[in-house]
Amino acid sequence: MPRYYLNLRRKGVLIADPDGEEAADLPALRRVIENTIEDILRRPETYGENPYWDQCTFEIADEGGTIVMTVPFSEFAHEL
Amino acid sequence: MQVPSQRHLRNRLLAVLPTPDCDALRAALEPVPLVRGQVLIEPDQPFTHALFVEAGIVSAVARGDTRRIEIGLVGRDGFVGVPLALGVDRSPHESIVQIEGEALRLPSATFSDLVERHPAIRAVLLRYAHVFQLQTAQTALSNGSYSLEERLARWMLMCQDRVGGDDFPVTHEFLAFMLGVRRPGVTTTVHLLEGAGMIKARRSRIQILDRAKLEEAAGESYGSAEAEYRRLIGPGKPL
Repeated sequence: MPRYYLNLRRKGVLIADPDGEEAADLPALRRVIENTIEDILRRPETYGENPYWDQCTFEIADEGGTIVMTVPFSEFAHEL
Repeated sequence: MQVPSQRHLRNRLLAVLPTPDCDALRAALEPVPLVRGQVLIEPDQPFTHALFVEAGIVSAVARGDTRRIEIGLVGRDGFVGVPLALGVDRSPHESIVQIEGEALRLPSATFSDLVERHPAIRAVLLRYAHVFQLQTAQTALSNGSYSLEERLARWMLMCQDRVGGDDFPVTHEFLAFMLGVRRPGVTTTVHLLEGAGMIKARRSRIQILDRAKLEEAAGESYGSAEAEYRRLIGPGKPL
């Protein structure tokens, strides 16, 4: 399965994902990202307050370093 | 492979025993490797062995329906099989090797028999059971805390206490699994601790740079169980 790197961009700084995660295809990857963002935004007592996360965007790269998907956390904030 | 003589043993519990009691245990011990990811104790299965860790780290893990979370760490400071010392044959918790190393193990029945017949062995092991309980209580306190920074800082200090060096192998995935969070939570927290100069993180390895700052970041969640260990079992190094 292809490996993707869940890099996070926040206020211009890129926090690199050193290990990556496997996903069968981009739709599957998208679902993983959505579940991850929802888990983080739903549990501020564990992950920290939303204002931190609202400023984050996933910039997901493939093994070659090409950005394949960009998902801002703010896209999900209003649903919770 | 031979079991080392008492003064060459790295396990602290074996090292502090009176020599005749240590020798009684040593006669029954067998050296075994600890392989990363190896499950030493399956939940709800009777214990087959008790293991004294010489190097490496074993996690005790509690499992819910959808999540797993680490409740304690065992290194050369302790042994795997506390329920056996308490007269209990199985546990709902899993013991899994987190950092590879070595251990000295003996069959459950032999272990229970030695604990019964040697008051000095029983005393040290029950004290350890007490301190391990304090450690899990501190983990609960830490988990209820607001920040992943505190939990991760504490975890790193506890690891360093047990492996002894400045760096150890661990992936963000395993940390996330142990702390019961999604991996990006670990990655951002590691990034924060790195930014503050406490650690250096490379692929699959963490290096401790500033232990004092890590202790500050861990706050009250780290220190009291460690102090009780020193009080009840002995200084050794580093616990």
